[in-house]
Amino acid sequence: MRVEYINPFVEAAYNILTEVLGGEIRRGELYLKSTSIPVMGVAALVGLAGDVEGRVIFDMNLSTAMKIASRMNQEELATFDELAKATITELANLITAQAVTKLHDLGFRFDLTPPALFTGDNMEISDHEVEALIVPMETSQGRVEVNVAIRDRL
Amino acid sequence: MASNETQITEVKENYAPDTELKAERVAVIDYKMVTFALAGKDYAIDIMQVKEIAKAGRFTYVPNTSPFVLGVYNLRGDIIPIIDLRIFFNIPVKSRENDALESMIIITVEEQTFGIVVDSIDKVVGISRSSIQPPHPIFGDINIKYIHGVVENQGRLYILLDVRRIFGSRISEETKKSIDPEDLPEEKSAPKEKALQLKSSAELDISFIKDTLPALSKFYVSPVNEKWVSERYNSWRDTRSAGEMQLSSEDDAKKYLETFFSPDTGNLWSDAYSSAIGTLLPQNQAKQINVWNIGCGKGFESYSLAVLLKEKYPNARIRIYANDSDLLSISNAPMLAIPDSQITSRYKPYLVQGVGGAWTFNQQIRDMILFEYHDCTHQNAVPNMDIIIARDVLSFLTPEKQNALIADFSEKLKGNGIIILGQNEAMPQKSGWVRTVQGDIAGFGKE
Repeated sequence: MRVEYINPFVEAAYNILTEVLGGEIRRGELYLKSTSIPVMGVAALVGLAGDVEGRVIFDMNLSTAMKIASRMNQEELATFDELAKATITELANLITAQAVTKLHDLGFRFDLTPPALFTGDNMEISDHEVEALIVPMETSQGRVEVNVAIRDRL
Repeated sequence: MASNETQITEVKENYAPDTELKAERVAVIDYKMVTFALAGKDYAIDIMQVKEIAKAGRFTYVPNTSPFVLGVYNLRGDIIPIIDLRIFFNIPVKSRENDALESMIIITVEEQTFGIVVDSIDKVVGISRSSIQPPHPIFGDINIKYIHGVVENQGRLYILLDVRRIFGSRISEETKKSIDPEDLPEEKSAPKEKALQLKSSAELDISFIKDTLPALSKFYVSPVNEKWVSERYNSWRDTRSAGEMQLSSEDDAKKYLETFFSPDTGNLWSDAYSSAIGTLLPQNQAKQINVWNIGCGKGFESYSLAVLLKEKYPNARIRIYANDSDLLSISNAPMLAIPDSQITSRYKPYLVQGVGGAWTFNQQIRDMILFEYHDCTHQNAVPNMDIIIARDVLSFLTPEKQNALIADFSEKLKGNGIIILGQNEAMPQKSGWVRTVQGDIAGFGKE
């Protein structure tokens, strides 16, 4: 993944999560992954197009998703209902949008697609021929992994 | 064999008094070991693997075996191979008198019985299994993988050997071949040929070094760099004292690898090196030239390449795909500031001074290079390449990954393309690669 793209995603994830969740946010070590990735339980996927092609996935387990949705809505949610799903989708939107804005300032033009939310057990998301950058973020609600797989349009 | 020449002692009679003494001091004794001395150091072997202890004189010499196989011995009817651990571990041995009695430990590994000759046998020591510590590279003159652990007892430090690793399959294959009771020659100890022994001990040394390099510095020896590793041994030997040929620490490994790295690693390329590489590159009239630069590190290599290629192919659009899997190194590459000491007349015209006085390459040069944080052992989604520069990359990948990457090169390189590897690396012979040489730099193309 192009070096210039990395920082905007890392910074956007950190900024938005700090703003929206409060509490302490810690970034884990970045690494590259090339195989299909099992989803932790809840995954929000945002497509990217323009100068690049690819996608960003925000991956977390169900209990983290519930806690985050509860925190963002300022009320305790009991089930992963439509409101909770919409909240996680919104979080994905916020982070990706800020990253794209930062990239725009650097001169790169990206388009976003509306997010899609995947929930379930034992799911895997595979990309053909694309290597993914994993940015693990530790929040007080649990672990969120930002999984970016984009490559330049050749 | 005349039995009055040998004495045999049963081990089991010895250990009872020892354990009674120690029971007062040690909480739990659940591991017993036979201790012995080799070149002044204390070693030990798990007693469960020791069959007995013996003192023996003449062994029947068997020709055509490794130098550490002294011969065979008749142990009450069983013919067993006798191995000199001192020669096996390449520790200097004082020459043996033909009739002197040697101390010998008889061990059983995977149903094969061996005799091991050592300097002297001490006693059986009982210890607590939990007090065995894993080995530190610093402890061994001998290859660390043969050390099961280290344990201290009554002020003495014993290095516990893992006989399964030492004598497992590999040796039992060799000695099984060489022992055939019908073929035993007359009982004569043949004189050792000094010259032959020296050659084999060098080979042993090199093979130990090949084993420790991956563990200590992630350098994997394979047909790509084998030649250099063997040649390097000669100059290495001159810098080390007799018992210290082995690599026993990361520092040692670093010193061994000192002469491996390609010229101008981590710096902008010198004029001489740039023109040497330049003469190696073929003429190319194409409008677009694709270059793959793997392991670009901080970026000095990619920028040097950009300047070189711009001058060699002034009319072409050049695209350099620069990768490295070390995020910290490559993350700064697009904005790399060149230190004053490296600003030579060659590069000055391409540099601009930014805020704070730092010199970086101009936009035109930077637009030529695409820096990516990428692991080349993952799927490589690059277009077909005219030039591939992968200096000192293959040697730090495991052999399977090396082969996979070389196969990738073969797929991605255009028919008339050229690959340049590290100064001391080469494509494996007879694998479909043709070598061209200019001065002392080699390039490889497809057959």
